[in-house]
Amino acid sequence: MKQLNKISKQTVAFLFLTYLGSMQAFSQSKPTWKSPTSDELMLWFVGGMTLLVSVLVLFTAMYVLYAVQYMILDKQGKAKTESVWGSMWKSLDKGLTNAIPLEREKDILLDHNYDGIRELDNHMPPWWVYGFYFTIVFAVFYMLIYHVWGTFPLQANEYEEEEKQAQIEIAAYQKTMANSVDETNVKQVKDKASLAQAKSLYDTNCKSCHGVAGEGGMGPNLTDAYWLHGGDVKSIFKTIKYGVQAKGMVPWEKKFSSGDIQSLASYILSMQGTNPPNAKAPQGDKAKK
Amino acid sequence: MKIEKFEYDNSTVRLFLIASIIFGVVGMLVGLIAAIQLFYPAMNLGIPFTSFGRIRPLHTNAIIFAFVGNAMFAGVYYSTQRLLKARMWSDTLSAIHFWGWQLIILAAAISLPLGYSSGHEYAELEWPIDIAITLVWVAFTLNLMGTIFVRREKHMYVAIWFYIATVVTVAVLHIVNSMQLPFSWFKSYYVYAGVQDALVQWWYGHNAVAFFLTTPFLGMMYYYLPKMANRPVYSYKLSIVHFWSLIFIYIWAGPHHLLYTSLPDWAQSLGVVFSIMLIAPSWGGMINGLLTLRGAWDRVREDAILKFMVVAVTAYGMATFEGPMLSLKNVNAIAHFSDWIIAHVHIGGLGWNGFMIFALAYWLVPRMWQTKLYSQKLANTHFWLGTLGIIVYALPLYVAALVQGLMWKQFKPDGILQYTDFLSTTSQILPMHMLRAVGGTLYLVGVFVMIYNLMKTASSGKFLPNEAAEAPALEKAHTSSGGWHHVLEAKPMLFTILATIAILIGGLIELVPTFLIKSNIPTIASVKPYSPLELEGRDIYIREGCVNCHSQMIRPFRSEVERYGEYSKAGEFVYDHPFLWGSKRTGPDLHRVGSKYGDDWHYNHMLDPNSIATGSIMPAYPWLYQYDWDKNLIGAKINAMRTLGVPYPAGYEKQALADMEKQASKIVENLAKSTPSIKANKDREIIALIAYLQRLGTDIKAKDEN
Repeated sequence: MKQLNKISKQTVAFLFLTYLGSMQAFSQSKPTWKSPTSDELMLWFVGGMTLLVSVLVLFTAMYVLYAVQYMILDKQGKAKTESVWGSMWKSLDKGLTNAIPLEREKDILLDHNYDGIRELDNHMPPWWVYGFYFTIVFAVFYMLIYHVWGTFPLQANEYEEEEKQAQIEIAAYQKTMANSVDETNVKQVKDKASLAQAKSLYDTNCKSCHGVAGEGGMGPNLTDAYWLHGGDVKSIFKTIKYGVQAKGMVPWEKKFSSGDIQSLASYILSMQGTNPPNAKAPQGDKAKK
Repeated sequence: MKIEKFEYDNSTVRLFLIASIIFGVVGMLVGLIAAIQLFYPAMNLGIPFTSFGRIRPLHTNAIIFAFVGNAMFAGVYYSTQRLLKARMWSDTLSAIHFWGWQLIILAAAISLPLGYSSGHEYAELEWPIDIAITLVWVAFTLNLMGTIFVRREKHMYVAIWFYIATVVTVAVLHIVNSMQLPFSWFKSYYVYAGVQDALVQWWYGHNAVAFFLTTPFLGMMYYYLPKMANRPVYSYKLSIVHFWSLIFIYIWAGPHHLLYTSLPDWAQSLGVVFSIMLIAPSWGGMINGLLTLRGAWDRVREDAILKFMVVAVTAYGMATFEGPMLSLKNVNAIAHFSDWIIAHVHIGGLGWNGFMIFALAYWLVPRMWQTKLYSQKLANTHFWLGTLGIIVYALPLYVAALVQGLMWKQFKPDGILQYTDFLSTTSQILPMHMLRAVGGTLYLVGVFVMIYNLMKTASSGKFLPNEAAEAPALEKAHTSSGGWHHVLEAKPMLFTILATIAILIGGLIELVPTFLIKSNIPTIASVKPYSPLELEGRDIYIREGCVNCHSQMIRPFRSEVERYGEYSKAGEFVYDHPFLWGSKRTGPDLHRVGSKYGDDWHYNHMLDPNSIATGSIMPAYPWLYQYDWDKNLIGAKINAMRTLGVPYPAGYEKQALADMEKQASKIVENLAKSTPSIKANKDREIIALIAYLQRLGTDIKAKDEN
């Protein structure tokens, strides 16, 4: 069984590499593969597409050249004479289709006649026949690989694998970042860059509920001294990070990095006492100074 | 041998052809409006009947069933008579078929903007129209089979094989996919739920493409292309092999629309492998078409009709290669739910179906009106406008799909999504959507050029309603010679039975186990039926066509779990009649939108999405704040759902209304508490919709917290 498994893995690798070509890079299912980043994906994709398009363009160009050649010769009344392109086209045509040449067409004309439509008894193009066989072999192996041998994971396991891999990568990344921020050690920041960055986040994400200038709307006023869930930087950080589901405050921890949340909390504190117009009535408890 | 004299019926062909072109223009105009709405929401006009969710089904139905359907009937009626050397079996059936079909289209054109939708894509029409479709289809089938039985040509040509496969399979697909339990004159619930409903729908949806948009057109290609090019068909053997393999394999491939969903893995894999195996049978048709032109390529340069045919067949080849590629899981992970799929179907629709219809029209009109085409030059202009239109339509959508698909999946190194705001990915692709509308406009202008050309042509000739023909009577003696298949071609009954078996196998193997084997849909104890108000809200969600832009299927990818929440489980959908997984994410997935935002957020958002999310392209739904939710039908709805297996207690239909009032009052209370400026009325539809939205996906959230 182990031997079989190994063989199947090799076969699969071969199948995928030859058949999928550049699409390989999209795979998210190889536990042995490091999951590629989106930049790599993009690169592979663009590469693959470029290849595909260039092959198509090449074919078209060849055909156009042939057609132009033919037309010129046709104009000179020499279309029947063999040109380089003509003979190349013919051998390509023959190789691809295994067709009986037009001149000998009568030999394979069937006696069918449907409203004047006749039928030839040409061979099926060999590449088509073998391509068909190949897809059948592919199908058999595909089913075996996923559902009998279990070489590649099914989607639930694939997802777990993806999560595990991501956690490792995130942990490794965070090791390189000194002192990541959380609700226990967050501090109010006052540098202009952070606050400007926070303002742009606020404008795209918070404004619709808390108002352009923090005056409140669907959500509470952020400029007065009253707070529903605490008005110190740590409490605000926590409220943004985990949300208050019952009151419609969205948890943002999956949308903003902890650094962003720190800046946002600081930005919100910077709005204190700004008295914007149309301010919503105070809610909650007055913050202790 | 006695020579019999008879007449071909051109009148019915003319009627179908004219209907096709008129509805084609209507369908494309509606499509253009929908395309503009996707970057200019004001085009929704702020009224229910023209909002995107309602006119997108109008566009797809008009194009598939009115434009392509009528053209198919025209092409089939014309060619069948000549291939079988017989007039259509019954003029009465021809008339029933034509007028019945137009009535169905009329009913669709009225009922879809009114919001009568079953919720199944490409099968949105409600149950009375479904029954009408069945009856008219039976008339068509009888007419076709009758003609085959009174034929004067002993053997059936390959075109006829494809027509037989078409009538049989469309009947099977339509009937199985229309199994609905009516609870009122115009509304019903599907008998299937969740995963099973999804499988049935995409088995239907995929094979509607196969047997409504593909096989009849392949049949037509086999008649018209050799006629137009005056060349023999390239390979009889290839016809046989690709016909049988195509109809046998196609039917299995439906699950490729449901990759990475809650459909069981084995069914998904069958969808993948049969899609891959479908490449060769599909290409068999393209090859036989293109190689039939061997020796006639010099004429392709001059003849607009042949140009249309070449591009049509090539577009078919492109789309049938792209389809299997999209069925590979890793490609599908990026492309699904994106504009790629829209581009893909339009390569098929605009290229394959549209261009072949145009070629047919240019070829048929001069013949039936006994004249010459008014202008080859205009036909060539149409060809270039159309081709340019397809390119300008499709390319921007491929770019949009790649950009958005990759943005959805992009993470920052700290494990947070790069584009957390869904809208930021939408804004990126709006320029592409504008270009797409330009492409569509070019294509439509081409159609107008054609109409002018054809009208000029018709007016220069005289229509021949009945075309005299003669042929020897069919000898009854069984003296078939040739290969076994040639013998089979003289036995229409046996042929039809074999074709039916071929198309039934795949469907049965995929559908039956999914319905019967419990382990395919693991149950979840915490999943409970919808409350009556939520059910009412769900019906409003279906009526407004929310499913056209919002999926309810979180796939098991880290990027989707981060963005939307825990991935969707099969057991969560067991009470969803119909399923609402969707196939396109113009907006974000909604499966776990429940309790994500406050009630007031939804209240304000549905009234004016732009006020909550600046730049949102979602239309506003002001009428939900004017109309009351239905208080009369809820008993019937509860009863219908109970019949379908949803465990509402006995007698609950009497209790339901009181429960609805209670839940509605609570939502209104909640709204007033959180945002005092909101003066909501508990009877308005928006309240029911909020109840439904807040319920979505929360059943297993509750479980997690306990």
